[in-house]
Order: sequence, then C-alpha cells, then structure tokens
Amino acid sequence: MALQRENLGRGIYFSSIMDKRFKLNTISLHLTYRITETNAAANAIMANMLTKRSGKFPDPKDFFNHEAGLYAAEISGDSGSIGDAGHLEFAISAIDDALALEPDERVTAAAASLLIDCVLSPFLRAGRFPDLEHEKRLQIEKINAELNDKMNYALEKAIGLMCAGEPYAIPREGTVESVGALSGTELFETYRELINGAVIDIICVGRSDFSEIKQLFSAAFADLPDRIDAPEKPESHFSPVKSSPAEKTDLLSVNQAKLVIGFKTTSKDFPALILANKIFGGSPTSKLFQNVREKMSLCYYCASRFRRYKGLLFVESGVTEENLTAAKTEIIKQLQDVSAGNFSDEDIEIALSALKNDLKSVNDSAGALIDYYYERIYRGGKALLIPPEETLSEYLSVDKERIVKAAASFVLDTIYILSGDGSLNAEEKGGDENER
Amino acid sequence: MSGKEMDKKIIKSERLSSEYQVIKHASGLTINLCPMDGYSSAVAMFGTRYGSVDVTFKTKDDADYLTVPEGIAHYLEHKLFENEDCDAFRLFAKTGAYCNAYTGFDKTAYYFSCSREFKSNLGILLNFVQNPYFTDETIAKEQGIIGQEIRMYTDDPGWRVFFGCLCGVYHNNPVRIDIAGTEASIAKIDKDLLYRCYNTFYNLHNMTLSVAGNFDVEEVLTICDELLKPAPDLRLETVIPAEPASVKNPVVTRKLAVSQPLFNIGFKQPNYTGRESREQDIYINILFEVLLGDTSRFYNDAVLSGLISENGYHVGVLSGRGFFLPVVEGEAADPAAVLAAVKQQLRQAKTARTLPEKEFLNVKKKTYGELIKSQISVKNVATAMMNAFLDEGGNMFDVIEIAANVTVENCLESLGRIDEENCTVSIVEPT
Repeated sequence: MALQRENLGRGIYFSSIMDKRFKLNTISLHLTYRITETNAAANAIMANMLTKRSGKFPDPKDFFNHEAGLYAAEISGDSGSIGDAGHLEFAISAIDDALALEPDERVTAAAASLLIDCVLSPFLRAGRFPDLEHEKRLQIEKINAELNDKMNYALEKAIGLMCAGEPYAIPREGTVESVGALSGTELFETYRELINGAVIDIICVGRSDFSEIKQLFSAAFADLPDRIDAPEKPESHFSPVKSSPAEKTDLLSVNQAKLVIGFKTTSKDFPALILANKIFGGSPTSKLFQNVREKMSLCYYCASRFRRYKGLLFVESGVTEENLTAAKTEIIKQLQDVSAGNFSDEDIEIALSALKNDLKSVNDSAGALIDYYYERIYRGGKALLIPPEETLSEYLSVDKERIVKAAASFVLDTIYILSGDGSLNAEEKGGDENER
Repeated sequence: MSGKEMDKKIIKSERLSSEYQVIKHASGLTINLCPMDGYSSAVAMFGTRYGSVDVTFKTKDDADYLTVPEGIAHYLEHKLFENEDCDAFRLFAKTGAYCNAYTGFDKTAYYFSCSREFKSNLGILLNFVQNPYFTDETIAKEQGIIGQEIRMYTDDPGWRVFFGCLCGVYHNNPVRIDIAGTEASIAKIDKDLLYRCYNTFYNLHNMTLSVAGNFDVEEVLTICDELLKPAPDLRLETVIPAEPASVKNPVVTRKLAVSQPLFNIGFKQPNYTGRESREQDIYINILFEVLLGDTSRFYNDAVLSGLISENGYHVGVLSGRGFFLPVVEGEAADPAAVLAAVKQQLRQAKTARTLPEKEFLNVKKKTYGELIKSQISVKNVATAMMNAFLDEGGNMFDVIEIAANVTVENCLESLGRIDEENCTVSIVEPT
C-alpha cells in the first residue's frame, strides 16, 4: 500500500502506516529547513536540549524518569541533513499498550504527547531557553569529541573540502566558533523560525491506527499563530566539479591512515549511478572489496557510497601509511575498470538482487520505513510515495551501457588523508599487548 | 515431521503472545525456529559456542589441555567465507541476500538476511560453515586484512579504554585480550591450528541454528536433514583460568588523540553462570540506572556541575561465559573525581539499604521496555534465540520475565555483592 500523506495545512503533513505485526508504535517528526551556519549550530543544540526537559518537566531528572516510566519511550533528537536541506528529526517509540505491566496504561498516547510537548512547549524562562552557556558547553564537547571517531572525522573533513561554500558542507553539529557565538536571542529566534517556517512531516508506523495520535498532532499544531502559510522545501543542487582535484593530508596521532577519495558526477541517471556504485564498491562482491581487500590484502574496509542529492561518490578505507599510494592507485583504477565495462552480466544481476532484497526488507522495520518514506517525501511528487518494492522497476530497465556511462561520469574531485604524525612509539602502535 | 528430528519443545510467552520451537536434531545441532507472520524477510544464524576467550581446551580424545594463540576464533570466522571454488559472499550475492558474521568473547555467528530464495540461502549457510578450506596462501593473505582490522581498533578510543579496563580488572582471564588477537599473535596462526580449532569448536553439538521471520518450518528441517553432517559429541571442555578476587591494576592509563579523557570503571565480581548470570545482569543494570543513570539525581547533578559529560555516558554490565563486570563509562575532564563520586554513591546506597521507590519502578519499566524492543526485529529474534542456547540454561523470553518481576530487594542484594573498592578505572587521556 502506498503511503497516504495528509495535509494538515500550512506545510504540516501527517502520514501513518498501520501494521499489526509490530509490537511498537514509532512516531517521528521531521523538520526540513534551509540550513545556515548559525541555524545549524542552534538546531544542533535544540536536538539535545529539547529532548531532556520540557515545560511540563523542567528538571531533566523528572523528564528522564517520565520517559523510563513509559517503558523506555525515549525521545531522540537528531540534527542531520538531506542534500542541501537541514533535517531535524525527533522520534519516539512506545511498546503496545497491551504489553504494559499495569492495567490501563496508555503508553503510545503518552509518548505522542511527550513528543509534542518537547517540540511545541519547551521549558522557557522569561521567554528564553535557560542555561544557555551550559548547553553551549555540552554542544562544544560533542563537536570536539568528533575527533574520537577517526573514520567519520576524515569523511567530514573530505566533505568540507569537496563542497566548500555549499550548504551541504555546513557541519551539522555546528562548529566551536558558531556555537560559541550563539546568543540566547538567536537561539530562540531560530527555534521560532523552525517551528513556524520549516516543512513538517509527522510519520508514524506501528500497531496503532494512529487516529488518536493524528488528533493530538492536529490540535497541537493548529495552535501556532505565527506559522507561515506555505513553507518551501529547500532544494538540493549537485556539487560543481573542481577544475583540478584537491589533495590534502592532515597529521594526527593515529596507527592507521584514513583515506577518503571523493568523485563527482553531473549525470542524473540515478538508477544507473546506484547500480554502478554497487558494482564498484557497494558490497562484499564489489570491485573494491574483491581487489583492494581480498586480492591485495591492503585493508580491512574499502567501500564506496553514493549521495544522490549532491552527485557525490565517496570511497573510504583504512591502510598503513606505506600502502597509501598503492591503495589510492588501485581505487582509482577500479573505477576506471567499471567505466571501461570490465564487469560481467552476473555483477549486474548481483547488484539488482541486492537491491531487491534491500527494498523488500524495508517493510520489516519501522525505522527503515520511516527513513524510506521521508526520503521519498523530500524527493517530491505524490506518485513517488510508492512502497519500496515497487521502485525496483526503475532499475530493471538499466542495461550495461547505462551503468558504464554512469561510472564514467564520475570525476576525481578530492583526496583526503588523515595520517600518523609520528607521535606514537612502537609500544603504542602494537595496541595493548604491553599490558597483557 | 522430519524423520531425523529427535526432540522438539515449544517455548511460549503468554505475555508477548509469541512462541518458538527448539529442536534437537539427530546430527547433534540444536535448531531454534520462530516463524513470524506477515514479514517479508527471514534471518538465519548459525552460531558456535566459541569466542576469543576459548584459548585453552580439550576434548575426550585429548590427554591434556591445549593452549593456542589469541585471535584464532576471529581468524576462523574470516577464513570460513572462502571455499575451494567460490567465496560465500558471492554465492549469497547471487540471491541478493545480505550475509555477515561476527566473533565475540564467547561466541561466533554467521548469518544471512533475505527476502527471497530462502532455501538456497540456508543451503549456502550450512554448507560454507561446515566446509572449511584453508591453504597456506589464503591464510597469509588474511594476515594483512586482519592486521589492518586490529589497527583500525587501536585508533578507536572507546575500544582502547574498554580493553584498558578489562586488562586492569583481570589477571588471567582471556577476556582481557582483543577479540582479534594482536599482530604478533595472529602471525603464529597456521593451517594446522585453524583446522584443529575448527574441528573442536565447529562440532554440531557445540552449535545452534536459529531462524526467524518469513520461512517454512518443514523446509528448514528438510534442508537440515540433507546438509547437516552428524558428528560425535566430543565432550568439549574449555578452561577459563582461575582469577584472583581482586583487580590486577586499579588504574590503567593510555594516551590517544581524543578531545577529553574517556573512562571505564569496572567493578570486579565473581563469575556467574546460566540463569543467575541473566538475573544478576538485570538486577545490576537496574541498580546502576537508579543510582547512577539519567533517572538519578547523581547523574543530573554531575552533568550540571560539569563533573561528567553527556557524551557517551553509560552504565551497565558486560557479561558472558566466564566474565561478569558492572561498568560505568563516559567522558570527563577529571575521571579520578568521577571515580570518587561513583564510589561514594554506591557506599551511600549500601548504608541506606533502600532505593527510591519511584525511580526504581520507572527504571524497572524502562528495562522491561528495552528488552521487549530488543526482541522486535527479525534479526533480533534470531539473535535472541541463538544467544539463549549459547549462553546456556534458558530461553529467550526469560530476561523479559526476570525484568517484569524484579524487586527492590533483588537489586539491594546485588548491591551487597559489589565491593566498590575492588575496581579498575581505565582512562584514555588526550595526547
């Protein structure tokens, strides 16, 4: 069944999928907005701040106790992006009321109310969010801690180089500077802009028929006096190809170099681009896995991913420094190989089979269904809200020629390397063996 | 009914209106089956009671215990995907199935997830795990790949602070050794050792197959009859070396590229087995959440005062075959101050001999809710059935019933077993 997306008015939409298989009800609220340096920092703070206290529960301890008492119905806040648009998501999942330990507990309705309160009735003091400096400090700690995940740190650095100046390159958690500079007025104004100007989608999946939940959301969101009538969805644009590839190496205390290679395309033949990515580096049977890892034994991971809204293709790998050149050369050679048509019909079959499997499996997970439909909604057009398995037909008509053309359309744009700074001594390089 | 099937039990949960079958197959394998109506996909997991801690063992045919280099269980997991003529990844890929495997401290599992051609996929899974093929050449090739996997983890501060804690708590228990081994230990692995360990631990009596989701029970049993290779029970014995009651090092410190110190505090406990392990795991989880988790005054004051960061803070229990460790982990400018505050909080609760009633009830519901959520997806159901068998002495619904019936007294009794001074704080400091 296709998703029914109901317009509640003023750019607020309610969609639900009732499925009795699930023992949970998952409710998600998506705000799609035009991202800037300032609002990215503010929205990242909000993703955290709005999910630990509310007007009803100003003390986080009471808030967390309330969530716990709702059988771990914990509200999550995530400041992310979809293409060039900002995407702030709040979600909560509640066990079916019948599974509650006490009679007549109404867990799902309470979870929905909590989500609404968090977003629409936050805790304010004199019309401002309290404890601003504390929240800013927590956010700066979070930004600084991005360094701890070296692979993701390298990927974010590479995106910054590839898409400099584009909304896509704005760090989703903000920067130490942008968070530090944020005033209480700016934070509150950003909140108001978000609530009043973002496109809002509420997507629910679970056992419930969600009619009561829809009422709760309709009533709550009818009450926004300053909401604009027709919020616009920010569009995404392909990232322009550089005249010559950029290459950058940063030095850090690491045991293993992290390599990110970025390519860009101008092709809009998405089904062919997606299949080309699968064949190149999107699975354990791909060219990258089979050659860079299995044949050459250069790495543990070497995989590619394609970002459709920006026309980007990333390859990520972790290799020892002395093998960096060999890995780079081989990765680029493997893409040339796909572009030259050096793959079999069986490789295409395998890529299609994986897609078939992935698309059918989406139906078995509430989270996957929500992600799938949110992406389709952003893409736009009512006809696009079709069930996952029905999108397969887009791929079935793709022939080898289109895949070759798609692969050949990728141009090398950026090479980013995070490499050792020589500070680790031999003992530390070997891990914790010295402690055994 | 399958002709070779021996013994079948139906395990039911009235609370969840769910059930699954546990079948002892004539080959020696225990099979867990949970068909789930209306689902598109199926997940099958083939697991063995063999993990990184199993370095010392004997079978009925051995005169004495054998100790092997660290990292073999994980190495075997990598090598089993290669057959003589084709790798398993490619066979699964042809049907579109997703396949993977993982090695833990006390188990190894191979699994696939598919929404079509289930029969072919189950055949591939049973075949590749039962047909090892190792050559000197393919073993040498894997050294480079696993070497890079080990290095990847040495750059992960969360992993390093965790193993720092295990190294500090345990003197002899092999849980203190990285699951993948070390670049030095894996250099000692050869074909004979791999076959020796394979033949010992990949005996069907030591293994289990769990299937959940969209599949036909009879079909699974027919394929099992056809493909499972009956094996004699080797009466395998593994030994986890005896462990002194006190921690080895109370403080373990390392330096890495991190923004602020990371810490793990582990409280040494005796080892529990079977149902007691599951009970103590849940009791201490609830106890720690009430005293130290986000529902506690302690946590909220500590975040507000800047004693601990919101980042990565977590309380819980690491448990498995031969180890049981309550842990508090997180990031803090001054981990020593966190340690002192945590100890103080535990001491106070011991003196008070009570837990705040409202917080206890909320955390009990939270724990129960989390356990229900953990058994929702097809993959989680397959995993839960497998773990229930490999962890011994229970079924997958037990934990939910334990959580539904836990009392304050249970938690206080567990608190009495914790010696807050017998702990290790592991710290990763910025370089």
